[in-house]
Amino acid sequence: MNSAVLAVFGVFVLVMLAGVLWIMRLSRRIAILTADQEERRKALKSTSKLLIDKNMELFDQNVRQQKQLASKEDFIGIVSHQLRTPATEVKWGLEALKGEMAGHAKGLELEYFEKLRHSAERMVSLIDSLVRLMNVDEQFRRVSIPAYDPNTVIKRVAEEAAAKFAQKHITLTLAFDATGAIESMDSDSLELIAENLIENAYEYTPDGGAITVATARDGAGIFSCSVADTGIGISAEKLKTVFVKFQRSETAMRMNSGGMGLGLYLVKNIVERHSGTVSLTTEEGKGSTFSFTLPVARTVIA
Amino acid sequence: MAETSAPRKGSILLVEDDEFLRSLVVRALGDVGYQVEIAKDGEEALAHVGHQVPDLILLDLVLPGFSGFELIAKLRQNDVTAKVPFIVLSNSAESQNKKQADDLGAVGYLVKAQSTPSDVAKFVEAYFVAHPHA
Repeated sequence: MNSAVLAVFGVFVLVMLAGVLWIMRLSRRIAILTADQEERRKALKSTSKLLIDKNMELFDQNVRQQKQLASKEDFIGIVSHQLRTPATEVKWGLEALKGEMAGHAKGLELEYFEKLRHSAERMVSLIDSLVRLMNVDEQFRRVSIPAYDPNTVIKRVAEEAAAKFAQKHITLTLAFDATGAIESMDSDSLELIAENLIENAYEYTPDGGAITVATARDGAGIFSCSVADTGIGISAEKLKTVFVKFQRSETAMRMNSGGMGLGLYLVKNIVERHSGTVSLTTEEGKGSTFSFTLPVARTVIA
Repeated sequence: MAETSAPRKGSILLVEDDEFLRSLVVRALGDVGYQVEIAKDGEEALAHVGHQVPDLILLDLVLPGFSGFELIAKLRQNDVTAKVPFIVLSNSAESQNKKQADDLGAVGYLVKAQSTPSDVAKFVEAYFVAHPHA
Protein backbone atom coordinates (compact mmCIF):
# COMPACT_ATOMS: atom_id res chain seq x y z
CA MET A 1 0.00 0.00 0.00
CA ASN A 2 2.81 2.34 0.99
CA SER A 3 4.86 1.42 -1.97
CA ALA A 4 1.89 1.94 -4.23
CA VAL A 5 1.40 5.46 -2.77
CA LEU A 6 5.10 6.15 -3.24
CA ALA A 7 4.98 4.94 -6.81
CA VAL A 8 2.01 7.16 -7.58
CA PHE A 9 3.73 10.11 -5.86
CA GLY A 10 6.92 9.39 -7.79
CA VAL A 11 5.03 9.35 -11.09
CA PHE A 12 3.26 12.53 -10.06
CA VAL A 13 6.55 14.29 -9.28
CA LEU A 14 8.02 13.10 -12.54
CA VAL A 15 4.99 14.32 -14.46
CA MET A 16 5.13 17.66 -12.66
CA LEU A 17 8.82 17.98 -13.37
CA ALA A 18 8.30 17.15 -17.01
CA GLY A 19 5.45 19.66 -17.06
CA VAL A 20 7.57 22.39 -15.56
CA LEU A 21 10.38 21.62 -17.97
CA TRP A 22 7.92 21.66 -20.85
CA ILE A 23 6.44 24.95 -19.68
CA MET A 24 9.95 26.43 -19.34
CA ARG A 25 10.86 25.31 -22.87
CA LEU A 26 7.56 26.54 -24.14
CA SER A 27 7.99 29.94 -22.55
CA ARG A 28 11.52 30.16 -23.97
CA ARG A 29 10.19 29.35 -27.38
CA ILE A 30 7.44 31.88 -26.88
CA ALA A 31 10.05 34.45 -25.88
CA ILE A 32 12.08 33.62 -28.97
CA LEU A 33 9.00 33.75 -31.14
CA THR A 34 7.94 37.05 -29.60
CA ALA A 35 11.38 38.51 -30.18
CA ASP A 36 11.22 37.19 -33.71
CA GLN A 37 7.82 38.71 -34.21
CA GLU A 38 8.97 42.01 -32.79
CA GLU A 39 11.84 41.96 -35.24
CA ARG A 40 9.54 41.16 -38.10
CA ARG A 41 7.14 43.84 -37.02
CA LYS A 42 9.99 46.32 -36.98
CA ALA A 43 11.13 45.14 -40.38
CA LEU A 44 7.61 45.41 -41.71
CA LYS A 45 7.25 48.86 -40.26
CA SER A 46 10.45 50.09 -41.85
CA THR A 47 9.50 48.46 -45.15
CA SER A 48 6.12 50.11 -45.17
CA LYS A 49 7.74 53.41 -44.27
CA LEU A 50 10.09 52.90 -47.20
CA LEU A 51 7.12 52.15 -49.44
CA ILE A 52 5.33 55.27 -48.28
CA ASP A 53 8.46 57.31 -48.86
CA LYS A 54 8.87 55.80 -52.32
CA ASN A 55 5.24 56.51 -53.05
CA MET A 56 5.60 60.11 -51.95
CA GLU A 57 8.71 60.42 -54.05
CA LEU A 58 6.90 59.03 -57.10
CA PHE A 59 3.99 61.34 -56.43
CA ASP A 60 6.31 64.33 -56.22
CA GLN A 61 8.04 63.23 -59.37
CA ASN A 62 4.69 62.92 -61.12
CA VAL A 63 3.64 66.38 -59.99
CA ARG A 64 6.97 67.78 -61.13
CA GLN A 65 6.65 66.08 -64.52
CA GLN A 66 3.08 67.32 -64.95
CA LYS A 67 4.27 70.81 -64.10
CA GLN A 68 7.17 70.52 -66.52
CA LEU A 69 4.82 69.30 -69.24
CA ALA A 70 2.39 72.13 -68.59
CA SER A 71 5.15 74.73 -68.51
CA LYS A 72 6.66 73.30 -71.69
CA GLU A 73 3.27 73.53 -73.40
CA ASP A 74 2.96 77.11 -72.17
CA PHE A 75 6.44 77.75 -73.47
CA ILE A 76 5.55 76.39 -76.92
CA GLY A 77 2.42 78.54 -76.92
CA ILE A 78 4.35 81.69 -76.03
CA VAL A 79 7.20 81.06 -78.48
CA SER A 80 4.84 80.33 -81.36
CA HIS A 81 2.80 83.44 -80.60
CA GLN A 82 5.92 85.60 -80.37
CA LEU A 83 7.30 84.24 -83.64
CA ARG A 84 4.02 84.55 -85.51
CA THR A 85 3.43 88.17 -84.57
CA PRO A 86 6.30 89.77 -86.56
CA ALA A 87 5.68 87.29 -89.41
CA THR A 88 2.06 88.51 -89.47
CA GLU A 89 3.18 92.13 -89.58
CA VAL A 90 5.39 91.42 -92.59
CA LYS A 91 2.70 89.40 -94.36
CA TRP A 92 -0.16 91.79 -93.68
CA GLY A 93 2.02 94.82 -94.40
CA LEU A 94 2.92 93.39 -97.79
CA GLU A 95 -0.72 92.81 -98.60
CA ALA A 96 -1.50 96.44 -97.81
CA LEU A 97 1.52 97.56 -99.82
CA LYS A 98 0.27 95.62 -102.82
CA GLY A 99 -2.96 97.62 -102.70
CA GLU A 100 -0.91 100.84 -102.64
CA MET A 101 1.34 99.75 -105.52
CA ALA A 102 -1.51 98.61 -107.75
CA GLY A 103 -1.11 99.95 -111.27
CA HIS A 104 2.12 101.91 -110.87
CA ALA A 105 4.74 99.41 -109.73
CA LYS A 106 7.58 98.72 -112.20
CA GLY A 107 8.99 95.33 -113.24
CA LEU A 108 11.80 95.05 -110.69
CA GLU A 109 9.59 96.36 -107.88
CA LEU A 110 7.02 93.70 -108.62
CA GLU A 111 9.70 91.03 -108.78
CA TYR A 112 11.14 92.05 -105.38
CA PHE A 113 7.67 92.30 -103.99
CA GLU A 114 6.82 88.74 -105.03
CA LYS A 115 10.08 87.49 -103.48
CA LEU A 116 9.23 89.20 -100.20
CA ARG A 117 5.75 87.77 -100.21
CA HIS A 118 7.06 84.29 -100.92
CA SER A 119 9.57 84.63 -98.05
CA ALA A 120 6.86 85.81 -95.66
CA GLU A 121 4.79 82.75 -96.54
CA ARG A 122 7.78 80.48 -95.99
CA MET A 123 8.47 82.11 -92.66
CA VAL A 124 4.89 81.45 -91.56
CA SER A 125 5.01 77.84 -92.70
CA LEU A 126 8.43 77.25 -91.07
CA ILE A 127 7.08 78.56 -87.77
CA ASP A 128 4.12 76.19 -88.11
CA SER A 129 6.44 73.24 -88.77
CA LEU A 130 8.63 74.17 -85.84
CA VAL A 131 5.69 74.48 -83.47
CA ARG A 132 4.19 71.22 -84.64
CA LEU A 133 7.51 69.45 -84.17
CA MET A 134 7.72 70.80 -80.63
CA ASN A 135 4.21 69.52 -80.02
CA VAL A 136 5.11 66.08 -81.39
CA ASP A 137 7.83 66.04 -78.77
CA GLU A 138 5.29 66.75 -76.04
CA GLN A 139 2.80 64.17 -77.31
CA PHE A 140 5.61 61.62 -77.38
CA ARG A 141 6.05 61.97 -73.63
CA ARG A 142 2.43 61.16 -72.91
CA VAL A 143 1.82 57.89 -71.13
CA SER A 144 -0.98 56.67 -73.36
CA ILE A 145 -2.48 57.59 -76.70
CA PRO A 146 -6.13 56.88 -77.54
CA ALA A 147 -6.39 54.27 -80.30
CA TYR A 148 -7.59 55.54 -83.68
CA ASP A 149 -7.89 54.44 -87.30
CA PRO A 150 -4.80 55.61 -89.23
CA ASN A 151 -6.63 55.36 -92.59
CA THR A 152 -9.10 58.06 -91.55
CA VAL A 153 -6.29 60.49 -90.72
CA ILE A 154 -4.32 59.85 -93.91
CA LYS A 155 -7.46 59.91 -96.05
CA ARG A 156 -8.39 63.34 -94.67
CA VAL A 157 -4.92 64.70 -95.50
CA ALA A 158 -5.00 63.20 -99.02
CA GLU A 159 -8.48 64.58 -99.72
CA GLU A 160 -7.45 68.04 -98.57
CA ALA A 161 -4.51 67.90 -100.99
CA ALA A 162 -6.68 66.60 -103.85
CA ALA A 163 -7.99 70.08 -104.78
CA LYS A 164 -4.41 71.25 -105.30
CA PHE A 165 -3.60 68.09 -107.26
CA ALA A 166 -6.32 68.95 -109.78
CA GLN A 167 -4.48 72.17 -110.70
CA LYS A 168 -1.54 70.08 -111.97
CA HIS A 169 -3.81 67.35 -113.35
CA ILE A 170 -2.24 64.82 -111.00
CA THR A 171 -4.19 61.60 -110.50
CA LEU A 172 -4.54 60.58 -106.86
CA THR A 173 -5.09 56.91 -106.02
CA LEU A 174 -5.83 55.70 -102.50
CA ALA A 175 -5.28 52.05 -101.54
CA PHE A 176 -6.01 51.69 -97.83
CA ASP A 177 -5.56 48.05 -96.88
CA ALA A 178 -4.51 48.58 -93.26
CA THR A 179 -7.00 47.26 -90.72
CA GLY A 180 -7.35 48.02 -87.03
CA ALA A 181 -6.30 50.93 -84.86
CA ILE A 182 -2.89 52.24 -83.85
CA GLU A 183 -1.84 53.62 -80.48
CA SER A 184 1.88 54.02 -80.98
CA MET A 185 1.75 57.57 -82.36
CA ASP A 186 -0.73 60.40 -81.72
CA SER A 187 -2.96 61.34 -84.66
CA ASP A 188 -1.48 64.88 -84.97
CA SER A 189 1.97 63.43 -85.59
CA LEU A 190 0.63 60.95 -88.14
CA GLU A 191 -1.18 63.80 -89.85
CA LEU A 192 2.04 65.84 -89.96
CA ILE A 193 3.89 62.90 -91.55
CA ALA A 194 1.17 62.28 -94.15
CA GLU A 195 1.03 65.99 -95.01
CA ASN A 196 4.77 66.17 -95.53
CA LEU A 197 5.01 63.02 -97.67
CA ILE A 198 2.04 64.00 -99.84
CA GLU A 199 3.25 67.61 -100.14
CA ASN A 200 6.70 66.34 -101.10
CA ALA A 201 5.25 64.04 -103.77
CA TYR A 202 3.17 66.92 -105.12
CA GLU A 203 6.16 69.29 -105.29
CA TYR A 204 8.26 66.91 -107.36
CA THR A 205 5.60 65.48 -109.65
CA PRO A 206 5.13 67.26 -112.99
CA ASP A 207 1.78 68.03 -114.67
CA GLY A 208 -0.29 64.97 -115.56
CA GLY A 209 1.58 62.68 -113.16
CA ALA A 210 0.14 60.24 -110.63
CA ILE A 211 0.44 59.84 -106.86
CA THR A 212 -0.60 56.71 -104.98
CA VAL A 213 -1.07 56.64 -101.22
CA ALA A 214 -1.30 53.15 -99.73
CA THR A 215 -1.50 51.64 -96.24
CA ALA A 216 -1.12 48.06 -95.00
CA ARG A 217 -0.71 46.09 -91.82
CA ASP A 218 1.19 42.84 -91.46
CA GLY A 219 0.61 39.88 -89.13
CA ALA A 220 3.28 41.10 -86.71
CA GLY A 221 1.38 44.28 -85.91
CA ILE A 222 3.41 46.60 -88.11
CA PHE A 223 1.52 49.36 -89.89
CA SER A 224 3.01 50.71 -93.11
CA CYS A 225 2.20 53.58 -95.42
CA SER A 226 3.70 54.52 -98.77
CA VAL A 227 3.42 57.55 -101.01
CA ALA A 228 4.49 56.82 -104.60
CA ASP A 229 4.85 59.48 -107.26
CA THR A 230 5.77 59.62 -110.96
CA GLY A 231 7.98 62.64 -110.31
CA ILE A 232 11.56 63.56 -111.08
CA GLY A 233 13.11 60.91 -108.83
CA ILE A 234 16.44 61.21 -107.05
CA SER A 235 19.90 60.24 -108.30
CA ALA A 236 21.89 57.51 -106.53
CA GLU A 237 24.51 59.86 -105.11
CA LYS A 238 21.91 62.25 -103.76
CA LEU A 239 19.94 59.48 -102.11
CA LYS A 240 22.01 59.63 -98.92
CA THR A 241 21.23 63.27 -98.28
CA VAL A 242 17.47 63.08 -98.83
CA PHE A 243 16.50 62.87 -95.18
CA VAL A 244 19.22 65.21 -94.02
CA LYS A 245 18.08 68.45 -92.47
CA PHE A 246 17.36 71.31 -94.87
CA GLN A 247 18.82 69.68 -97.95
CA ARG A 248 17.30 69.10 -101.31
CA SER A 249 18.80 67.25 -104.24
CA GLU A 250 20.14 69.29 -107.13
CA THR A 251 17.64 67.69 -109.49
CA ALA A 252 14.97 69.02 -107.22
CA MET A 253 16.67 72.43 -107.09
CA ARG A 254 16.51 72.62 -110.87
CA MET A 255 12.75 72.27 -110.63
CA ASN A 256 12.79 75.59 -108.77
CA SER A 257 10.21 74.25 -106.38
CA GLY A 258 9.12 75.86 -103.15
CA GLY A 259 9.69 72.74 -101.02
CA MET A 260 11.54 73.37 -97.78
CA GLY A 261 13.59 70.21 -97.36
CA LEU A 262 12.61 70.31 -93.71
CA GLY A 263 9.63 68.05 -94.36
CA LEU A 264 11.42 64.75 -94.97
CA TYR A 265 13.78 65.37 -92.11
CA LEU A 266 10.74 65.83 -89.85
CA VAL A 267 9.17 62.62 -91.17
CA LYS A 268 12.29 60.56 -90.45
CA ASN A 269 12.79 62.13 -87.06
CA ILE A 270 9.22 61.56 -85.89
CA VAL A 271 8.87 58.03 -87.30
CA GLU A 272 12.14 56.80 -85.80
CA ARG A 273 11.33 58.25 -82.40
CA HIS A 274 8.18 56.14 -82.46
CA SER A 275 10.18 52.97 -83.17
CA GLY A 276 9.32 53.02 -86.86
CA THR A 277 11.41 53.02 -90.03
CA VAL A 278 11.50 55.15 -93.17
CA SER A 279 12.59 54.01 -96.62
CA LEU A 280 12.82 55.34 -100.11
CA THR A 281 12.99 53.65 -103.49
CA THR A 282 13.62 55.93 -106.42
CA GLU A 283 14.74 56.14 -109.99
CA GLU A 284 15.87 59.42 -111.48
CA GLY A 285 13.29 60.62 -113.98
CA LYS A 286 10.81 57.87 -113.13
CA GLY A 287 9.59 58.69 -109.64
CA SER A 288 10.00 57.95 -105.96
CA THR A 289 8.21 55.95 -103.29
CA PHE A 290 8.54 57.10 -99.70
CA SER A 291 7.40 54.57 -97.10
CA PHE A 292 7.33 54.36 -93.35
CA THR A 293 6.41 51.68 -90.85
CA LEU A 294 5.14 51.93 -87.29
CA PRO A 295 4.39 49.33 -84.64
CA VAL A 296 0.63 49.55 -83.97
CA ALA A 297 1.04 49.01 -80.22
CA ARG A 298 2.50 51.54 -77.84
CA THR A 299 6.19 50.94 -77.21
CA VAL A 300 8.03 51.77 -74.02
CA ILE A 301 9.31 55.31 -73.81
CA ALA A 302 13.09 55.47 -73.73
CA MET B 1 -38.05 91.43 -102.47
CA ALA B 2 -35.92 94.05 -104.20
CA GLU B 3 -34.27 96.40 -101.77
CA THR B 4 -33.91 99.94 -102.95
CA SER B 5 -31.31 100.96 -100.41
CA ALA B 6 -28.30 98.88 -99.46
CA PRO B 7 -28.85 97.06 -96.17
CA ARG B 8 -27.03 98.50 -93.18
CA LYS B 9 -23.67 96.81 -92.68
CA GLY B 10 -23.31 95.07 -89.32
CA SER B 11 -21.42 96.94 -86.61
CA ILE B 12 -18.06 95.49 -85.62
CA LEU B 13 -15.88 95.94 -82.55
CA LEU B 14 -12.24 95.03 -83.09
CA VAL B 15 -10.29 94.23 -79.91
CA GLU B 16 -6.59 94.28 -80.80
CA ASP B 17 -3.61 95.78 -78.99
CA ASP B 18 -1.16 95.89 -81.92
CA GLU B 19 -1.70 99.25 -83.59
CA PHE B 20 -0.31 98.28 -86.99
CA LEU B 21 -2.31 95.05 -87.29
CA ARG B 22 -5.37 96.87 -86.02
CA SER B 23 -5.11 99.57 -88.67
CA LEU B 24 -4.77 96.94 -91.42
CA VAL B 25 -7.90 95.07 -90.34
CA VAL B 26 -9.86 98.34 -90.04
CA ARG B 27 -8.73 99.24 -93.52
CA ALA B 28 -9.64 95.85 -95.06
CA LEU B 29 -13.08 95.90 -93.43
CA GLY B 30 -13.50 99.54 -94.46
CA ASP B 31 -12.79 98.55 -98.08
CA VAL B 32 -15.89 96.34 -98.03
CA GLY B 33 -18.01 99.01 -96.36
CA TYR B 34 -17.80 98.27 -92.62
CA GLN B 35 -17.55 100.88 -89.93
CA VAL B 36 -15.26 99.39 -87.29
CA GLU B 37 -14.99 100.52 -83.68
CA ILE B 38 -11.73 99.69 -81.95
CA ALA B 39 -10.62 98.75 -78.45
CA LYS B 40 -6.98 98.33 -77.42
CA ASP B 41 -7.72 95.98 -74.51
CA GLY B 42 -10.48 94.27 -72.57
CA GLU B 43 -11.22 97.35 -70.41
CA GLU B 44 -11.81 99.52 -73.46
CA ALA B 45 -13.90 96.76 -75.03
CA LEU B 46 -16.13 96.53 -71.94
CA ALA B 47 -16.54 100.31 -71.86
CA HIS B 48 -17.46 100.31 -75.53
CA VAL B 49 -19.91 97.43 -75.29
CA GLY B 50 -21.54 99.10 -72.26
CA HIS B 51 -22.19 102.10 -74.48
CA GLN B 52 -23.26 100.24 -77.63
CA VAL B 53 -23.57 96.50 -78.25
CA PRO B 54 -21.93 95.57 -81.59
CA ASP B 55 -23.29 92.97 -84.03
CA LEU B 56 -19.95 91.17 -84.00
CA ILE B 57 -16.70 91.25 -82.05
CA LEU B 58 -13.33 90.48 -83.64
CA LEU B 59 -11.19 89.40 -80.75
CA ASP B 60 -7.50 89.00 -80.08
CA LEU B 61 -6.71 86.58 -77.23
CA VAL B 62 -3.41 87.85 -75.85
CA LEU B 63 -4.21 91.35 -74.58
CA PRO B 64 -2.82 93.69 -71.93
CA GLY B 65 -4.76 93.34 -68.66
CA PHE B 66 -7.20 90.48 -69.02
CA SER B 67 -7.31 88.00 -71.88
CA GLY B 68 -9.79 87.80 -74.73
CA PHE B 69 -11.39 84.74 -73.13
CA GLU B 70 -11.83 86.64 -69.86
CA LEU B 71 -13.49 89.44 -71.81
CA ILE B 72 -15.98 86.98 -73.30
CA ALA B 73 -16.63 85.49 -69.85
CA LYS B 74 -17.41 88.99 -68.53
CA LEU B 75 -19.72 89.72 -71.47
CA ARG B 76 -21.53 86.43 -70.88
CA GLN B 77 -22.39 87.50 -67.33
CA ASN B 78 -24.44 90.44 -68.56
CA ASP B 79 -27.84 89.70 -70.15
CA VAL B 80 -27.51 92.52 -72.67
CA THR B 81 -24.12 91.36 -73.96
CA ALA B 82 -24.35 87.62 -73.26
CA LYS B 83 -25.17 86.70 -76.85
CA VAL B 84 -22.75 88.93 -78.79
CA PRO B 85 -21.16 86.72 -81.46
CA PHE B 86 -17.38 86.80 -81.68
CA ILE B 87 -14.62 85.68 -84.02
CA VAL B 88 -11.19 84.98 -82.56
CA LEU B 89 -8.34 86.62 -84.47
CA SER B 90 -5.17 85.51 -82.73
CA ASN B 91 -1.68 84.26 -83.32
CA SER B 92 -2.03 81.44 -80.84
CA ALA B 93 -2.97 78.36 -82.80
CA GLU B 94 -2.96 75.81 -79.96
CA SER B 95 -5.75 73.29 -80.03
CA GLN B 96 -6.74 73.97 -76.41
CA ASN B 97 -7.37 77.64 -77.27
CA LYS B 98 -9.41 76.62 -80.31
CA LYS B 99 -11.39 74.26 -78.14
CA GLN B 100 -11.97 76.91 -75.48
CA ALA B 101 -13.15 79.35 -78.16
CA ASP B 102 -15.47 76.68 -79.50
CA ASP B 103 -16.84 75.96 -76.02
CA LEU B 104 -17.51 79.67 -75.55
CA GLY B 105 -19.44 79.64 -78.83
CA ALA B 106 -16.99 81.46 -81.13
CA VAL B 107 -18.33 81.73 -84.69
CA GLY B 108 -14.80 81.49 -86.09
CA TYR B 109 -11.13 81.17 -85.22
CA LEU B 110 -8.61 82.79 -87.52
CA VAL B 111 -4.86 82.49 -86.94
CA LYS B 112 -3.45 85.86 -87.96
CA ALA B 113 -0.26 84.56 -89.57
CA GLN B 114 -2.26 82.04 -91.58
CA SER B 115 -4.66 84.63 -93.00
CA THR B 116 -4.60 88.18 -94.34
CA PRO B 117 -6.78 91.19 -93.52
CA SER B 118 -8.74 90.57 -96.72
CA ASP B 119 -9.34 86.96 -95.58
CA VAL B 120 -10.68 88.43 -92.34
CA ALA B 121 -12.98 90.75 -94.31
CA LYS B 122 -14.22 87.83 -96.43
CA PHE B 123 -14.91 85.78 -93.31
CA VAL B 124 -16.86 88.65 -91.75
CA GLU B 125 -18.88 89.16 -94.97
CA ALA B 126 -19.70 85.44 -95.09
CA TYR B 127 -20.76 85.54 -91.45
CA PHE B 128 -23.18 88.44 -92.01
CA VAL B 129 -24.60 86.77 -95.13
CA ALA B 130 -25.32 83.62 -93.10
CA HIS B 131 -26.53 85.57 -90.03
CA PRO B 132 -28.32 88.74 -91.17
CA HIS B 133 -28.44 91.13 -88.23
CA ALA B 134 -31.60 92.91 -87.11
